[in-house]
Amino acid sequence: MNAVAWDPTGTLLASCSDDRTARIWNPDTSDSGDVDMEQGRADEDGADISNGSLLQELAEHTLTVYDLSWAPQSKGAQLATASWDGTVKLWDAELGKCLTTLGKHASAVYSVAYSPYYSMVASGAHDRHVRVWSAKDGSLVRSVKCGAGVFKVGWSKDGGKVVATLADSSALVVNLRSSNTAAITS
Amino acid sequence: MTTLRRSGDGTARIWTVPTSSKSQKVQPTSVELVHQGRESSSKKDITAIAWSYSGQALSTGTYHGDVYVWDREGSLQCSTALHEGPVLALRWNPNKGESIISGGYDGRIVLSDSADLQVQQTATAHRGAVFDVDWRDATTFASGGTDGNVCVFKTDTGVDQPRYLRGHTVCACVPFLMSFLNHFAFSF
Repeated sequence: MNAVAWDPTGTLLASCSDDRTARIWNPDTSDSGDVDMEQGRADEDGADISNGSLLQELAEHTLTVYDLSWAPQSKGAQLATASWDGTVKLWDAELGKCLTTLGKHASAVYSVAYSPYYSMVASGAHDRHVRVWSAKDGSLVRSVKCGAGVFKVGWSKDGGKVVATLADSSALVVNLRSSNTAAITS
Repeated sequence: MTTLRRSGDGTARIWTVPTSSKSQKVQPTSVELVHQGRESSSKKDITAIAWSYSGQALSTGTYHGDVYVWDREGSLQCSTALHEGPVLALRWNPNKGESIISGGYDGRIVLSDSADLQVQQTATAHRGAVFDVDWRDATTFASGGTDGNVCVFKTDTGVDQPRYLRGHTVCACVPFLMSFLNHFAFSF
């Protein structure tokens, strides 16, 4: 289990794991349609378990799914997953269908994040690249070569900048509205 | 624009990155968050960080299981030991930021008051480390652990009876890669 996150509406829960899958859950439902937890099955500890609330299993990655990111609310139930197989996949989480595969990274992708605006996705990988993609057609918008492998990417709230933290203990800020990058080293 | 960053040398810093579209070189400035206690002598990692939703406060978690709360200028507000072993996940309540959940390598999830880190509730739902937590709303949150389970908790009815969502096969992993991971959070 590597990451867990609620979608922007708080209805669906996504999780991803070393078992190469991501799963979409709706914890408010059960397979019998009965939300009374006392009706559910129990495991050997007596804990209530409700496998019926699993909506979709997203199972196309060939290695560990390490990170996931929900699209902003306006985009519907769209989810991005980052995998050690070098790809980022964009999914329709309700249908369980892969919409696009972003496949330019040469090694494990450690982080993926949707922009709060502009239908874009940023990814960071062991191959030392931060990449920004269009979430509409999967085209590559920007590619930045960094000094070391990229562990985590994130967006500023206005969607204008991407920050990446790197394996050499530095961070890089990429300004998408200009050609600036700013390095942060300790 | 302000970012918070933890690193593998036992320190965490708040960086302010000037917004400039004219000059090519941008010079960020920083303030160090001084973690006293076990971290300062052992130089062990700060393992988790999280801004509050308002951006006015932030929290850090350490390799030894301590949690710290700071204001956005970097002044320490409170700190306490909440876990046995590394804090792996940290999130502020999305309502008014009055509470924080922390998930640890010890398998525990602790709900504490963000003003003084007094423990409100503790859950031991996972057999193994808790890697991630996420709030759904002001009273509901989910957690994921190395036992492959996802759990959903409600704080108003008590976190001792979570809903288990099973399906993932065991996570053998470990990104104990996580202990070298640089991590950050944005705010402004």
